[in-house]
Amino acid sequence: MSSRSFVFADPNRCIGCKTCMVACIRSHTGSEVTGPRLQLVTTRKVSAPISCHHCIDAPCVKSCPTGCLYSDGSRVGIREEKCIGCQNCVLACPFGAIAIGSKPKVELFGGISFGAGQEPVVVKCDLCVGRNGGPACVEACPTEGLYLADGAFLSSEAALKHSKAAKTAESFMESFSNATF
Amino acid sequence: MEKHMTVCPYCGAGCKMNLIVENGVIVDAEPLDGVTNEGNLCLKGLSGFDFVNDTKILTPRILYPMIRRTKGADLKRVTWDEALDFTAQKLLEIKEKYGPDSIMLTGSSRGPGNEANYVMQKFTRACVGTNNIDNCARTCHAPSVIGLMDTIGSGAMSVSIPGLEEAACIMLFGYNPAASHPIVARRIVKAREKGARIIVCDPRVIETARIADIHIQMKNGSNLALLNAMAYTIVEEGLVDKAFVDAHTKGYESWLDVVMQYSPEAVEDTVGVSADLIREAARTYAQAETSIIGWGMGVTQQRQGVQTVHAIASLACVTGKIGKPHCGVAPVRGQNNVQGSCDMGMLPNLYPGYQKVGDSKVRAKFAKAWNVSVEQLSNKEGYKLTDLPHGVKDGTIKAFYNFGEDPLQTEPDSADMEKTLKDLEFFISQDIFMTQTTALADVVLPATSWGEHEGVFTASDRTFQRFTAAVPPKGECKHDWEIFQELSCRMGYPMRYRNTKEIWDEIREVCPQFYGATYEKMEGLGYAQWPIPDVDGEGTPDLYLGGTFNTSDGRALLLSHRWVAPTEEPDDGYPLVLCTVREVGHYSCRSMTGNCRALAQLADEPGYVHINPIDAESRGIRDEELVWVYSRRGKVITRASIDERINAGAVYMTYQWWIGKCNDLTMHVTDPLSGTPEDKFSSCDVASIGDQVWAEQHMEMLYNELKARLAAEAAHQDEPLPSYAEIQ
Repeated sequence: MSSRSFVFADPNRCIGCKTCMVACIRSHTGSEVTGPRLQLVTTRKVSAPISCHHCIDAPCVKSCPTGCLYSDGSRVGIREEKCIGCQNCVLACPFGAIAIGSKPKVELFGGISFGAGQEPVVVKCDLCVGRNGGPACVEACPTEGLYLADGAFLSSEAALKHSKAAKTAESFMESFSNATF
Repeated sequence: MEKHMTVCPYCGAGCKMNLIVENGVIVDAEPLDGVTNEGNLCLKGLSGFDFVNDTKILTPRILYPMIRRTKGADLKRVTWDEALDFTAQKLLEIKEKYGPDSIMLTGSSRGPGNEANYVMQKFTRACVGTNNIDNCARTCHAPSVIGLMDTIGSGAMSVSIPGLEEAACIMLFGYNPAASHPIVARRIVKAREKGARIIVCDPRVIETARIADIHIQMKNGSNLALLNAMAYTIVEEGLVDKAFVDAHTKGYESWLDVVMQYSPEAVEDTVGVSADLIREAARTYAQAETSIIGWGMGVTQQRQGVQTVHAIASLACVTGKIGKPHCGVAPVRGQNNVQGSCDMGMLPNLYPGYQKVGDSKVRAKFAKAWNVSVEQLSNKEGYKLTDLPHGVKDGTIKAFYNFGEDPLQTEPDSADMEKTLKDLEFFISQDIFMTQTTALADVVLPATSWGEHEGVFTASDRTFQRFTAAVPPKGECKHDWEIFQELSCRMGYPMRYRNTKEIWDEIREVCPQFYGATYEKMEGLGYAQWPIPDVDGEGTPDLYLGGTFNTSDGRALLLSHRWVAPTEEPDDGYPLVLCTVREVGHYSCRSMTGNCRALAQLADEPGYVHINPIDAESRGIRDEELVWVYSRRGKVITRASIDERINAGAVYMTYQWWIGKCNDLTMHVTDPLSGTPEDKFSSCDVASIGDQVWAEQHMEMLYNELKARLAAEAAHQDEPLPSYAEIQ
């Protein structure tokens, strides 16, 4: 079983209110990157925020020429200083969960820091690493429609589907009951 | 770090929360386990606090009193004494010259709270001597208040917000809770999970339509035709609750006369859905054990707003879907204290507690309580807020006292409203921000903000809750009630309240329905839901239990009306319907949320016009491009959002944007019964802009210019006060 987790929305509960997006901005207060790291997507039938799945064999990591994006045991992480803004990762991500933003560039000159325009930076879900209580978006969702799909969540979902699948066998149980093998 | 209990200042859901304060600055917010929010907040509650800190993201707070000594002169910072003396003298002159009815006032349904509003209407009635007081319910739920008072006797929600979750069927009619009240939408999601059937009647695929059992994607402006057809089905298919009709209503026969002209088959073209679907919705509503109809601006901001509310209330009565728990009517209020403003008598025909100004017994009671002679209290109904433009034009209204509203942003046809405000002989604005409206005022009075004062709000479901101050007032800001009181003293009617509790206790004494709502009961997470005549218990979650209505004979009056087409139907020049709606992350005129960092980051100018892919393609419009939207009233620049949830032939704009301002396009036509503007239906067209680089620069320039103009007006408060010698 994988030890990877990602934030997952139930479209039956999502009301498109963007509380998750604001919770994301708030939990990254102090970061130079502005804007939410998950995006509400709406189609005619579905509303759900989309965010990084922290794929095990992550296409974004493979596409990154500088090692800015990396994969460790638990997630896809970012080394912000290595981003060159090439946008390979934006193209590679099958979910559209990565964007390139900008942050103020600071240069040191003789021990004094100077503002030097803007520099690019990868913007994507970091699972609120280090935050007590886990991802802020999951905690804030007023309809309890966001989950941290971790190992336990995925196996309980799988168990539910297993028992549903087993129920479908009821219809042909009888046909086997008298069978002799 | 300190924590201060309060109630969210945005929608009418009444969410309890803590403000977290460090070194005298509000730095965070957290939900509390309040009766309506159960430990939840939406995005505005969570991150809508930093406007208090005067972030100047959109426009500055006003912190010092300013006046224009002569019409058209620059604003000058003055002392409170000078501002109040000047205002009192001007108002007395106008009252002397043109009579008390030449002065119009508007209450604030937002941060100030019930006590401030009560003192303002007392000032209006007992000191100025007029009933010309209104509040922004006029632009939103006035048709609900009037329509429900006509039929069942009380203008408020008959059910409670927590009770929504227990209903077996919820029908949402012209109401988008996910955008207007996320914490109410949460109850609908929960009700559905508990097995409730959900019916949505809306031209758009709104969030709740997505999860509904039945979505009637009706044509814009067809409300009454649809409701009449549902009523027809209920009669024809034998779903009328005859016992309830006989025992608790009157007017059935004449109600029947109209609805029997509207078979679902006959209105298919008008409503734009199949008769079968209408029938199925009617059956589902009528056959459920308990049903609630929730509605919003889609019902009220229409030509036939009041009549549509009559139809809704009558539908609930003929099916017996009112008068038992979790079953009834739910006009959910848009602003945190718009229910409270109505409760406090910020209405031209009603004293506090819904007591009629035309009733001589009521006047005698208030005259005694307020220590004035009965003759001093006007028996004439006052002007409505939407009477202001023509009142100024025909010279009957000379002075306007604006309390915490921004009509230049929120009322239809802004160009006309701007002329109205400029043509006033005297214009006072008491607010917390330098809004576009305040920038035109002759007197600018700085009030304390939510977070800096305490009081009681009324949530949409009649729940009174206390809120407290978290930080001290900024600059020279005074509490709203103190300003009215000091003005009243100068104008010859002294008031001497020392705190909000004294005011609240007076309100309890003059309003029997509110008597049991003591400050002590509402301590902490306590609450009181009116009617609450006694100090025991928490009040009344469901009105009309057992079928006893608040009408003079206790019976509901059934009313039905013919459907009439909207006023300005699309034509060749303006082929699209324009409907104004809500932005979930911003609130009302946006002066508060636009000054909150996270909310401004999430959505900023010029906002969007939402358009169906077919209408976009035929105009060569691409997603996210800037476009022109124009009507007979004006033309604005905004961004296109190509959205398959939108019905073809209509476009939707949210009304918070100052540049992409839909009220430059809407028209000032009102429902004659309520004075509420027909904001949900006018005609317009959308055009692509070839040079997008120019368009982006142009939009940016307009926005920067507007912000700079407001900042410059506000900067007059930073000028030094003239010395004593200079004044002499």
